[in-house]
Amino acid sequence: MQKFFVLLPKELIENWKTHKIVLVFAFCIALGLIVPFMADGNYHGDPLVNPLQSGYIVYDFTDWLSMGMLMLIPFMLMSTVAKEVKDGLAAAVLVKPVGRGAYILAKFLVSYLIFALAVTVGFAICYIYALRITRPWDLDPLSCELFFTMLGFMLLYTAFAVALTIFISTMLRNNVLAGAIAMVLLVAFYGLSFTENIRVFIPFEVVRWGWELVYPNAFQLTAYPGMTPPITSPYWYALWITIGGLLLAILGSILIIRKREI
Amino acid sequence: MINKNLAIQTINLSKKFGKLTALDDLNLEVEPNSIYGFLGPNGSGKTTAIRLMIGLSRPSRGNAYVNGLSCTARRMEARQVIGYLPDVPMFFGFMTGLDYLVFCGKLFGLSFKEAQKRAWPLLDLAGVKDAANRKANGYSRGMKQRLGLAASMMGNPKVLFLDEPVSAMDPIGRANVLDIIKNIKEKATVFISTHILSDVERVSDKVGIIDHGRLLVSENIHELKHKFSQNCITVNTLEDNAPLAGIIKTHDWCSDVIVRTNDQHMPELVIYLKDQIAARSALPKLICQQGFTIINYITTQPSLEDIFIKLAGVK
Repeated sequence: MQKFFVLLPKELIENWKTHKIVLVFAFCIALGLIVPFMADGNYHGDPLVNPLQSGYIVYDFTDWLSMGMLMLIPFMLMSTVAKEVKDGLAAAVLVKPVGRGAYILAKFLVSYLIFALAVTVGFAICYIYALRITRPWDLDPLSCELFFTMLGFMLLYTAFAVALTIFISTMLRNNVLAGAIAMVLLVAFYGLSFTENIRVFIPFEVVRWGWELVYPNAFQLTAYPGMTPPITSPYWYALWITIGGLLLAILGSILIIRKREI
Repeated sequence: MINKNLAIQTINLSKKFGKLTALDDLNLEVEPNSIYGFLGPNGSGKTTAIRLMIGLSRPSRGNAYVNGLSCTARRMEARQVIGYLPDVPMFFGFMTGLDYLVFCGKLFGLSFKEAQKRAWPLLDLAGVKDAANRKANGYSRGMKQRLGLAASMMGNPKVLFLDEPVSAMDPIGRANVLDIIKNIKEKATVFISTHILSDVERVSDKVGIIDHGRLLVSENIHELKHKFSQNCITVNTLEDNAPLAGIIKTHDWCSDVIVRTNDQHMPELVIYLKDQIAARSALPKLICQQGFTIINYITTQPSLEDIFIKLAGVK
């Protein structure tokens, strides 16, 4: 257990010194600033969307963020285990009295922490900025409860994506291949979330669940042509599959690294 | 039968990669506070054997024990007493030499201060103290090996596994590191895997020679040389003597002949004899009858290289 707390700061410092933390935070903060700014620019004065609504802006932000994460998470984390094993760095650590489980958990925890904090900061910036610019017009500003619910679903999906990428990175020695496979899988989940019958089982639906909770708030005064009324349905299957998938990916990573030739 | 008094013991240690047998029934024993030189040609299974002994790889059959601890069943305890220097030491790009040693020390359970306190003398011993605050990835190959050696000693190991510890060093550096290894013997057992025979001859107490995954010999170095020296004659001739080797080999009193060139670029034959007495009279006469001019004719103790070549069959 003590060795786990030696690995944690090492992973954190490594992510800082290799600028991964900066990149992830920069992406989320930039998005948090750009999306409300674009919404203000695009929709201000639009009689269909006006009054501009904070809920819509945050909805828009999660849309962009979730698509960005499909690429950012595999790109940032593809080398996490694969490259260390290939370069002999994993051997340099695991030849010492360090559990292989602790090795994987430290990587997962630090990677998730970075993304979770960055997503939270981006969300917060977007939310505060959105409330500010919509104040004169928004009759029903997005409540804190809904904001935190959306954020919670987004953080859950981020955890799943991080765990999945680390799992694939653990399986393979080629970090580029690991990143590609992780990206393909995450994009596939996103694509499948648009299919009627199976989307309720797809992990990406937890993000959509957040959207649909916000939907009535986001679009209550909207009358865009062709826009269908909101359908709010519980995505319990997707929720449990996301949680289960996340736990299985972590467990799978630990089991693989234990059996693997390092 | 596990002997807990041994520093290293392997019992029928084997490793297969699919159909390829990388290691086949390795049985060796290493006494505590000794230096064991593990020799073999490239691809013979040296690194595979080490990786099994330090727990980075799982054996297909058999087991390895370090200080009486199984490298599979009691892996974590075994790693607490092991130090390892790989053939190509790698370091985290963001760490300085000192950072890396402190990190290693913390993984062995030392506090930050304890690890720093231990790191500086090791950096000094390894000769990289001046570069301690430089990024380790910027070190030269020789410096990386020295840093790797220092890192392998951070946990105060009882058993040190060194895979090609001096391959990237200049002669002075090599001599310096070999002296360090000789001194480590007082506190730990050293297992060196290398193909630089002169280094093994210089520091090792016991030698093991492996080829194609099989241990050919594991013996005290002096006894090994004595065993091979009793019937060995070295002949230098003026002419190229390769044809002569074939003729000599046909005689009953000869077991083997190795053809080579010595340090002075003179043709040389190393002749291993079955019957020294018969050869004493027959051999000089044979060489002259064949029209060769003898420059040197001496009974020699073969070098480790000669023994290695004879056993491993490398020409």
